[in-house]
Amino acid sequence: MKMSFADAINLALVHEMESDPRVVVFGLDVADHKRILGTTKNLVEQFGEQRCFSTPLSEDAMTGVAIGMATAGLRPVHTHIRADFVLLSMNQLVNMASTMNYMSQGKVKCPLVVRAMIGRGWGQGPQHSKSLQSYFAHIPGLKVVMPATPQDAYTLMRASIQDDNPVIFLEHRWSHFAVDEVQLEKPLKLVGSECLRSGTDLTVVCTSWMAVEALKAAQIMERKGIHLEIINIKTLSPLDVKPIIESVRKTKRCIVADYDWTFCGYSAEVTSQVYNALYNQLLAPIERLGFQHVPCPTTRPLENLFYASSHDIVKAAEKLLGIDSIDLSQETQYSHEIRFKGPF
Amino acid sequence: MEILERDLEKKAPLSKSEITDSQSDLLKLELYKKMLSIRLCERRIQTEWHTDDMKTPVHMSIGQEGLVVGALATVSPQAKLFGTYRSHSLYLARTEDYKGFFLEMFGRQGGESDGKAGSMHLASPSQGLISTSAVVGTTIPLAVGSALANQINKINDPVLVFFGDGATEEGVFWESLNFACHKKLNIIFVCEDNELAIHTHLATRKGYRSFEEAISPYNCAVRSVDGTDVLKVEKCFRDLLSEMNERKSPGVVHAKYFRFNEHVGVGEDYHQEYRLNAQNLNRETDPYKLFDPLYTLERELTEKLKTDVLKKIESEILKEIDSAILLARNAPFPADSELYTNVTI
Repeated sequence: MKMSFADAINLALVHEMESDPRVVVFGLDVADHKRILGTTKNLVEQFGEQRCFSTPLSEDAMTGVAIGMATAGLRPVHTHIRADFVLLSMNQLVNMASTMNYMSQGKVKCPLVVRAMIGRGWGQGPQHSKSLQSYFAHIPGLKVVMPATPQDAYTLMRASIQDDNPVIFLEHRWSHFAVDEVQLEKPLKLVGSECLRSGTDLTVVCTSWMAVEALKAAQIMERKGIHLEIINIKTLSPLDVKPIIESVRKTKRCIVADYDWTFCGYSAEVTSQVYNALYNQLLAPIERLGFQHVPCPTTRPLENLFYASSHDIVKAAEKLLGIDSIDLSQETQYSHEIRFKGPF
Repeated sequence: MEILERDLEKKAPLSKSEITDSQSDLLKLELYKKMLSIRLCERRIQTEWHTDDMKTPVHMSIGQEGLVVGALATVSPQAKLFGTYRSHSLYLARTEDYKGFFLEMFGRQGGESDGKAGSMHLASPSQGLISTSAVVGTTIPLAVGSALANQINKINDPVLVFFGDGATEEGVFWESLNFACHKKLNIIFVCEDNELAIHTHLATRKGYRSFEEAISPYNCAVRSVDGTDVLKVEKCFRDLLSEMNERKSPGVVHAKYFRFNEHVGVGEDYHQEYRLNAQNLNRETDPYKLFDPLYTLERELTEKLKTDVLKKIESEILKEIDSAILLARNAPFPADSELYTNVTI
């Protein structure tokens, strides 16, 4: 059935809370009237205040509380309206959550989900604009997922909650509006990557919102007879790099479009692994796209330059393919006002 | 009152009915025995240290025994425990497992964590000791989460979390206290105050009048106790649990004790310059006569018991420690492949 990404998140939470009484959802403003942009609606009403509640402004302690609950057999979903706030949780996530299972030789599990909203909003500035997946993916013991489609949102949220490891679940704010087909019966697994669009000329490996930008780039280039293949990395850690390598083995050209800063970012890991496997088969160097290496500015024109877009993907593809520039002057860009409504 | 040989054979923990308001001599003996076993393990670490077979930093519990043993005596073996990197006493008081202890200390396979945890992260999850941590304050919110889980699952046992005076300066302590009080959780925050954050004395860190006063606005029960006196500690926790049960609130215990050793390592440093002035000691002071939880109780028990009873207890413990050390020395290290186990499930 068709539903929005936001509704898919909500439905996943409802279904998990229905099927498992151990699931508890909390965080700042989780139970207020806005319900994290609607994604936690009905949870208090349906499951009660013990299982869904708003917390004091204590992200450090509440992360520890979530970990403690997880060690006691509950399955907490700690929710942050902005990934930037998860920085307050880093001590607990890195020093405690990621090490619990390892140091106890499997006797103390930490089935925790940390859910946070990432990325561009509307003039959000440097403290309401980050993604940080490279921070989490860097830490052994943490899993990292980034849903791009409503199907991803539903499947990965349920799979993350059912996973016995700490899982960091990063969802893009703009993704919420996309409406697409969600098959509830699809296996609830943290699957690695998915080919969103088949192509022969060049592979665009994406995380999160870059999948949307890549689809737009693919549509633009299709009109010039260039066929982009789009791989959406849904589970960043652990990374199953095989589908990416198989794709680039076929197309021999690769752009890694990560929704984050490129310098020391997740894209460096993917790029390095692809080079390792295919260094003597590539027809061009691998191009990495992401944020410009500056703090995110608030004013719109500079914010436009900060984030990578479909136009950047097109220009990078032109460079790798050695073709003439396509006229992009008539192409619109996604923005707070011009939303991607789906389908993928 | 004479303690009969058969009473010493009792392995089961004392039931609530056996502990009256005036602490029984049997309770006193149990407490002493537990403290002594911790002390003897610590002494053994000190004598073994030069062999460099224990490759893990040891933050010793010498002086801390009374506080931990007294507290644990008031809660059931099911009550969950969380602690710091200074938790040899906590581990031994809960598990009485010398073998597991030394296997872990020697980094061998067969301890609770097959050597992956070491001295700073001793745990025994099956016996309720869930987590001990080397980053100050980090287990405090976990304990709160565990207490919240108990509340949701309607489990009546309290959770105990032990931390030092330094941890009360970390923001996470106040965040945790606030949340626990707001939710009315059954948890005891135990501040083991030895006045030292490594080498920095409390007087050079403190910006408030008293810890008890700082806690007082929070909706919880508060106690101060001399942590060097195991009997006072036991009574204090019993009283506190009673008040907590009435109020349906967390409890906070501020217990001062004396850290005989240097912050980390097997040497004593109480006559070091940095401690003399700060802690009102002089080089002639023997802190073992003032602050050792074993010292006072041992004198009382020696008067009451037949002379060889304590000696018998001591020699039995020493025998068990001997065989634990022998086992640990001869046990294998974990296989190389263990590096990769249990990272993610």
